[in-house]
Amino acid sequence: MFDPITEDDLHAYVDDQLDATRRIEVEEHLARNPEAAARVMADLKDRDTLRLAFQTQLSRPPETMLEAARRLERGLAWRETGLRLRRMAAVVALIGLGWFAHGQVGLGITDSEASPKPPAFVEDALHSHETGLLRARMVSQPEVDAYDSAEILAETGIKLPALPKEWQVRDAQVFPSRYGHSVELVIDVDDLGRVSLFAAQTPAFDVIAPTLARFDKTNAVYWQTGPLAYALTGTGSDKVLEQAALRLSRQLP
Amino acid sequence: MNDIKATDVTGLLSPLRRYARSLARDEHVADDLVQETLARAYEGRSSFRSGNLRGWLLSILHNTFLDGRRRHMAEARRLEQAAIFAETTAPAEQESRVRLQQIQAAFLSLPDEQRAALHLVAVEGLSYQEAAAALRLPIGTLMSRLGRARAALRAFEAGRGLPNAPESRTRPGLRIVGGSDV
Repeated sequence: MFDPITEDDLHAYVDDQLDATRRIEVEEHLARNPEAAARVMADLKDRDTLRLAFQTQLSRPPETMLEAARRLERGLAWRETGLRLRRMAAVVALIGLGWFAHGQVGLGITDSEASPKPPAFVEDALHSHETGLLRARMVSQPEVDAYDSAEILAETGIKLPALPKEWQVRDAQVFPSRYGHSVELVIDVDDLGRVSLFAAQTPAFDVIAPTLARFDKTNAVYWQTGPLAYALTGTGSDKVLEQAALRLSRQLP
Repeated sequence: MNDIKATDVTGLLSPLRRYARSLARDEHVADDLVQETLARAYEGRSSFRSGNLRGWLLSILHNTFLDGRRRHMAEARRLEQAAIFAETTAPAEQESRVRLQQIQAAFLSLPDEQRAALHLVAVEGLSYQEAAAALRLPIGTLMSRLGRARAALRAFEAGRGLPNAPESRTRPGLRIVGGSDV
């Protein structure tokens, strides 16, 4: 027996936003419910009619609009180049920091004020943190609270630290990342609220001691041991987050 | 990296203009809205995170529209324009053309927030996540607006009358799903 078909499923069916399995389940439901089927057909017809109506009526954009679009394109292209240069500079700085941190492991958190722009994987960690929160909100995206760290290690080569017993894992997902796989755990922690532990493969062997990076609303503490990079992301107190990250990093070889 | 696609604003003018027309319900106001959107996007280009250019621009367009001035201008000419607007479309068959105009007129008479939700999802094919992000809404709210927009269009066809907003809001038999509405 499958999950009951909800109103949202019917919309998602009309909007073609279901995977194949769920589509079939919805179709089975519709085959038995003529009233719902008629409704869905009416919605499909309205959708197609609106698409057709909007397709046919665009004239060539005015010249001023095309010029404004090109200006924006140039502006964005420059910005991309600038970001790439900054990222390269950060990598260069990190190689230096990595050697420095290598000698400092165990002394504690690297001074956050002196730290450079965080490496690219921290941005990935932030994105997957947001995705994790989104998934938690979404009814149609079921969470997976059981995870098997041995299987994750065997399949992805990513070693996860043992978590403190009182931490409640809410979701575990494997994502593609820039250099192989990444793993994202969404965890509820008493004194931190909802945090994400992100772990990913990196192309460069390095050792980075836990380092705090502050963003608009979120803080991330990131570290690297050998080829694996980690980040603990959340909105709670940065001190508590740092301590938690330090504790996790010591679980790893 | 595909830099050419990543900043292809010109290629996005059609979705922007379509969305602007849905919101403004007036061709000229709509193109002005797109023009202002491009100017605002240029000024705020440092806030762009590489990735979803379409969602970013649609979101700016939406906020520009919400700023209100255009909404009032458009509102003044709304009924008159809705009729003219529908006439400018020219599909082949006579009968389906009438139906197309009717549905479009019904669509244009929906409340702004329902029209925005239905346009992004049904016409532009945005995923629920993308549409919710562009409208800065929780997904539940997006879904309930979508539900009400579709129920109103269905009611319009059942009754062959333009749905008016208060009636469509309280239609019996429509279950509102998820999230609180704003």
